[in-house]
This record gives sequence, structure tokens and C-alpha cells, in this order.
Amino acid sequence: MKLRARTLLVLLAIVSATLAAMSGSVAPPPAADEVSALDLAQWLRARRQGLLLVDVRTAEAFDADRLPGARLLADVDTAALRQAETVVVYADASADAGALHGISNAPSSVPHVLRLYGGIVAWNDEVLFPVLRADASARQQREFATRALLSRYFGGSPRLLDPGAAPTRGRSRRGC
Amino acid sequence: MSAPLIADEALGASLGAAVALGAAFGFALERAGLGSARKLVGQFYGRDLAVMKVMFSALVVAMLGVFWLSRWGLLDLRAVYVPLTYLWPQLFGGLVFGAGLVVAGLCPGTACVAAATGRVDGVFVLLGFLAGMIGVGLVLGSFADFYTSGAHGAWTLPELTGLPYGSVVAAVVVLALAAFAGAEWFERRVR
Repeated sequence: MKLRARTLLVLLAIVSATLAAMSGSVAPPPAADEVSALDLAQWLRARRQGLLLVDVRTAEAFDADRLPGARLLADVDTAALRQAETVVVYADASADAGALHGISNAPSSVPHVLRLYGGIVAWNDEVLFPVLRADASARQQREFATRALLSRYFGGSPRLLDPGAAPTRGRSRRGC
Repeated sequence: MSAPLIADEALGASLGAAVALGAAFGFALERAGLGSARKLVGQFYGRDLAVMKVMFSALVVAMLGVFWLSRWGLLDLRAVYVPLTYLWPQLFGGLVFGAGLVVAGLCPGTACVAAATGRVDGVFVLLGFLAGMIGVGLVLGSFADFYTSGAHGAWTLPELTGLPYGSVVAAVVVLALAAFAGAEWFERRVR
């Protein structure tokens, strides 16, 4: 390979790796109109003023499982929207843009409408039932203690995963 | 839409993709000259470190690709299989594998490439693999405890170190670039 092409590839790898280190997480960051489950949990715990949670799922799904203080979309009236400063809509995985658009264009449109990133699935996984591996380091255990407190605050239960006893994926792959 | 694009249940499509990807992998190995046992064994005598450079290049490209595709929402990393860790049998297996690689001059992938390109040693190494797999399968029950010892499930470097995923990616890239530079320096000295 020519020296110039090799230098270019090395530079590309260095730039890409530096940006990766700056990005930190491998998960896509929430968009400008989204809020993460952990951030929403902190808002709820801090009793943020003017926060309205709107569930855009079916009434059956809402009855079975919902976020604390959430209201079903059909039950949200204009007065509630007028009082709200921030509206967070959520669905199972992620609320579609249609629900967001509908609330933003309501007659008494609220200034700040957000979608819950990952929906109620993310709320359950990250807030209510966070998982700590049994072989976690002391530092990871200390960091998890904060998540565990938040989980218990909302009535959840942090889980301890024994990775050896409970393989999470059954498929097999081999090769070199 | 995000990858993986083929559902687990779609067996026919999965097998088709496996054949296509396997052929592409074999073509890349052959083009890199890794179908030759002499080239592979050159690694252990310090004459030719192409194996390390090719494999580390593939690892860095795949790792950066997976990181950024996931970061941009084009790949669902949760749906990507992570091989389960069984620490002690895998360490032992690595030693046996390394010894076999030195003796045979080929590993499973390169043995397939060697056999496909008409090299007789590749055919014999593949026959050895088959015999080894059958033999291990017959006596595996006697070593069941050892086979599942040191289980850590799907264990990744970010989980092991507690560092952010991106930092681990950057560290591996730095390690790879240092290894490339060291390999080239070592090759020049040996020649």
C-alpha cells in the first residue's frame, strides 16, 4: 500500500477514534425533541413544575402499566395543556411524530413538547429495573447505588444479574 | 430501519447471508495471502507479521463501523450476538488453538481458503478439524464442569473496565496503531 494511502487511513482511524472517545456512549443520543428516561426520572423526583406526562398508547396498556402521574391522551384537555410548561409524550418503545405534532398544534399549544426516548420500555429497563452484573467492579457498584436509589424511589427493584448462570443470548457463533 | 436486517427466524435468509459473507471473508483472506501456511507461520518466526496486521485492521474497521453505525441509529447493538465468556476453557482452548496454528500453519478460516484454492495441506488441516470436533464431542461429557467454568455471560471490555464504550474503542485503536508500528519495526530488524 502506498505511503500516502496508509497515512490517510491512519489519520481516519485516529480522528474516528478520538470522536468515539468524545462521544462516550455507543447509543444514539436523544434527539432535540426527546428526553431520556433517566433525565425524566430526575425531573419527576425533583417535582419539576409544569410537567405533564401524556400516554399515547391504548387505554388497556395505560391501565396495565404507566409512568407516575401520567394521563391518557384522550383524557388530556385544553386546560391541562394550558397549565403545562413541558409535555412529555410516550408510547411503548418511542412515540411517533404524529402524537407530538398533534399536541404541539393544539389550540393552547405548550412551549415545550418532548418524546420519551425509548418509551415505557426504556423507563422500565433504565429506571425501574436497572441491572447490575454480579461481577461488577467496586466503582461500578458505587455508581449503580445511585440508580438503585432512583429505582426504589419509583417503586422499582434493582436487579442483580449472575452472567454465568443466565446467558442472555442463546445463539452460537464461532470462527476466525 | 436499523440492522440487523435479517430476523433470527428467517433461517433461509440467514444462511444465504452467511454464505455470501463467508465467501467475501474467504476472498479477503486469500487476497491478503493468508491461504498460504508459509505466510501464516512466518508470524511466529518474526519474518512476516501480515496476519497480525490484517486481523487487527479488520478488528479496528469492524469496531469503528459498529460503534458509529450504532451511534447513528443504523445498527441495534442489543440485537448483535456477543459470544459468551467461559474464561478457563477459553484460555485453554486459545493455547491449544495457538499450538495447532503453529503446527498446521492454518486456522479454520484460512484452512478453508487453502483447501478452496487447491492446496493439499488445507484439505488435510480441515480433515484434522473434523476429526478433532468429533473426538471432542464424544468425550465432552467427561469435561462438562471444566467446559462451563469461569462463566461471565456476554462480557464486553466496557463492562469489564467500567469505561465508556467510546473510550475503549479509542484505546483499542491506539493499541492497534502501536502494534502496527512495532510490527513494521520488528520486520525491518529481522530482515
